[in-house]
Amino acid sequence: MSSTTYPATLFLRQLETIVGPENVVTEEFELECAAVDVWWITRYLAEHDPSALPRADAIVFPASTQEVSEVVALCSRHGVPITARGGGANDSGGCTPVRGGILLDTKRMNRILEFNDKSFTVRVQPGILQVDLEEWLNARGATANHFPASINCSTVGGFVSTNGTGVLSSKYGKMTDMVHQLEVVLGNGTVFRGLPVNRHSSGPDLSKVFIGAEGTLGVVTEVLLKVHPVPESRIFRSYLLPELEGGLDAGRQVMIAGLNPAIMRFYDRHDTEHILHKQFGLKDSGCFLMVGFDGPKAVAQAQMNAAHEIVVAAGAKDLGDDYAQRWWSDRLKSYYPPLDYICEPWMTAVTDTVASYENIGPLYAAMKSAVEDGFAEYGAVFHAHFSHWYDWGNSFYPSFLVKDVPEDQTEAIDLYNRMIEACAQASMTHSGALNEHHGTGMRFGRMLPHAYGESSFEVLRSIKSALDPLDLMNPGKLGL
Amino acid sequence: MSDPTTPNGDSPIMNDPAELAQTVAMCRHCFMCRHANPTFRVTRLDSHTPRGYALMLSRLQGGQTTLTVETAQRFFESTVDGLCSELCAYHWREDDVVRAGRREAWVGGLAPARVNEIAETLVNDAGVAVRQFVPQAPEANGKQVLLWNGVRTLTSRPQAGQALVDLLSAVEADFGCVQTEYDLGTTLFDLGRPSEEVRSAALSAAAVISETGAEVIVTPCSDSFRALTSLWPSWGIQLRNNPIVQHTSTFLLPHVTEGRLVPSEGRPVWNRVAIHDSCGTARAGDVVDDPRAVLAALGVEAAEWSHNGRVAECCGGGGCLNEYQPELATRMAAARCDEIPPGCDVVITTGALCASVLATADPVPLVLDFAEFVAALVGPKSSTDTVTLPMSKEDR
Repeated sequence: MSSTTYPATLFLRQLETIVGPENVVTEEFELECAAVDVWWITRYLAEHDPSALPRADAIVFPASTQEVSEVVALCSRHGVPITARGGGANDSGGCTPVRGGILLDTKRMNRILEFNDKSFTVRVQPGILQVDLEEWLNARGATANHFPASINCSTVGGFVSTNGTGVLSSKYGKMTDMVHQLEVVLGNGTVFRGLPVNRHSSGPDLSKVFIGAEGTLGVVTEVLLKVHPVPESRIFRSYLLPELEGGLDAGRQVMIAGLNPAIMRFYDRHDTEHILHKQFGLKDSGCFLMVGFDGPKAVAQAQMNAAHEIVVAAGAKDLGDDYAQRWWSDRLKSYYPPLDYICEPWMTAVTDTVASYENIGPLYAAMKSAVEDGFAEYGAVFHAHFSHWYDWGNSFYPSFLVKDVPEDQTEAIDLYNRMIEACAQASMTHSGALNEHHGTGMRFGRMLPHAYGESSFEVLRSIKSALDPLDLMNPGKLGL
Repeated sequence: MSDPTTPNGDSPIMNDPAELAQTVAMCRHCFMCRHANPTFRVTRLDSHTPRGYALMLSRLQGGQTTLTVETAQRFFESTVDGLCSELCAYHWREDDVVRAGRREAWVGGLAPARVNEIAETLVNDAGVAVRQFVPQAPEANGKQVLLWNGVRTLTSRPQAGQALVDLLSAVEADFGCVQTEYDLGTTLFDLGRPSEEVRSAALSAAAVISETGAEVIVTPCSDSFRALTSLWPSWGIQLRNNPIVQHTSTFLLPHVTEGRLVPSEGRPVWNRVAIHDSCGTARAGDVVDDPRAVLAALGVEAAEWSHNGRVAECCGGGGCLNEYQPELATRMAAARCDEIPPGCDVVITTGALCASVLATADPVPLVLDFAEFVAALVGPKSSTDTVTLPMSKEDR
């Protein structure tokens, strides 16, 4: 146990009196399972050097805000680091317990506390898996409209902590848009509760301080989320464009025309081949674009018609609705092995970013060059699609891939870090964000001070210092 | 009578190290099916998921670690019901990964003591006297229809067998039961026992069944249905007369739709039932429509559970988990019962064992095997005559 002052067995006994003995787990294999997430580094270490995997000393499963508060207070008294963990399927190492201590696993806190069918909000505990929440809402004619690829794997608390985004974010926003109120247990065990709505002029929205904080400022214990009625209609259409630039501009025009698509996705040639050809049998070459609208039937159709005109005028070949509809129905399929790279012993990472429209094209080109030219000796491959479009810019979702991973462990990890840094540098040089929706975790966290600049980043350091003076909450993350 | 073809008694990937290695490689870093895993849903432990099992097996087989008592225990805390494989977009056989892990535990002498007892009993004395549990069962030899209760059904839910006897008698079927039933190899198979033990058990049972000369086998037991329709064919076991194998519902359907079985006056009336689809019948055997068709023909509204049909969650009895981990199985039963659709008076199951496992949930709904429910509804005298209506979900 990473406490300097308190015998480990006594500490564990104290934890057991708070949450129950069956909810404090110290079994070796369980700790190892929890140490391996989707981040390439933990997967690589699991294969090559499991003893080097950072592990917690115990996993604790509280069931309530009160239990979280008591656990955190106990850890605070004894200097034990706390890493909050929801689904644990992060691809950035966000839940990697770099200084040991406890993993505070929220999956027992999975209750739905209140559903308001007048205002369409739902209050939940943080450990509910998004798939379970969505199913519950659907049975009541509602939906969260939050459909990330990790919907099966990840929890509401995790999405809040990383400011996650789903495929319908163009219309329904990110977590920061969906969250109305948070309850958070702070580093000393006290409980913070935000204001009940997220649009107001009552000082800074303090709930937002914790959105995207990746557990470094406190443990989210309750979330009030905006939800929606299940739309009457959700329609799709897809196209093929000859080249990237035309498609990017077509998408921009759709967004700034105020057509409000629920979803728009645009794949570069390589990604079109990787996903669309393999998964859907698309034969044609080009850059695949799909748009989708939802809501009242007549409104969605009118929006689609207007978008169709814009896209076709940009030189797109109309593929009809079949591919796009199938993409929607089978969208999770590409995250299962063998289509998902994580089953292979290759080096891979997603380096999603977001930038304004005038920057996104040059950013793409810069990142592509940084990978393929900068790491040509390793045969590095880069492909991307553009998703999460806004009326000021969009994100793109690049993956880099190296199949011939260096045999030497130090060299392999160094190569990975250099590639991550090269992608991050391309983002920052072109006014992009370090990450769009996975969180920075261990992958990008160290670069956050550079992204902000030291004097600006000092704001976050000050907040951290005030809320977690002992630096026990998910230490080593966010560049803190 | 020709000898049954000697089966292999193993799942295919147990015989193919490359395929097992590939399945392990596919599963060990994937979280996509975790949410549905019945054990994970109650324990929230990653070690109780396909990813966890594959990760451990990859480390064991890669020589990076050795099996401990604790991790061996984990491999036996799964119902190996195949749900995760069913939900997987590419149907990777994660349940076979668990069996492979169990095999490692046996080899290492680390199988839990209670599991060892069960396996030893099945190997040494696998027979169960039918008449002891279903006293009114007629003899099977020379009859057209064999009513195969299933060993686990006989010992845990004999009233299902008795109800089926009553129903078959009511339609004047030419049927009977054997004197002694044997495990069909499914339990030993699911526990990851050596293939020669599985084969031996299956052959013993096959000989008994073949001796009857039956042309049709009807069973209320989902394990037996799975063995006879799915596992035995894959193991190359053939039976004399190549009998048709039917679940209770499939056999009853024409009798109900053609008016030979109708609801009796004065019998307990159930307004709305929830159907729990058993893993062995629905997922392994694709028996989903027939139970619903029977109920509809009997005028019973059947409510659908939120994960049902081929993606039904295990009751907790899969792989005989309820026998060696009753507390865990009860938690799984309770989790399943927590999601009973509102307004249902009764839960009926398409596997007799499921009825006995779900009945351990607290509070306890009225749970009946499919045969029991139909028998109570259409009126043949049976042990279910004294059934009382349950609390409604709102009262629970």
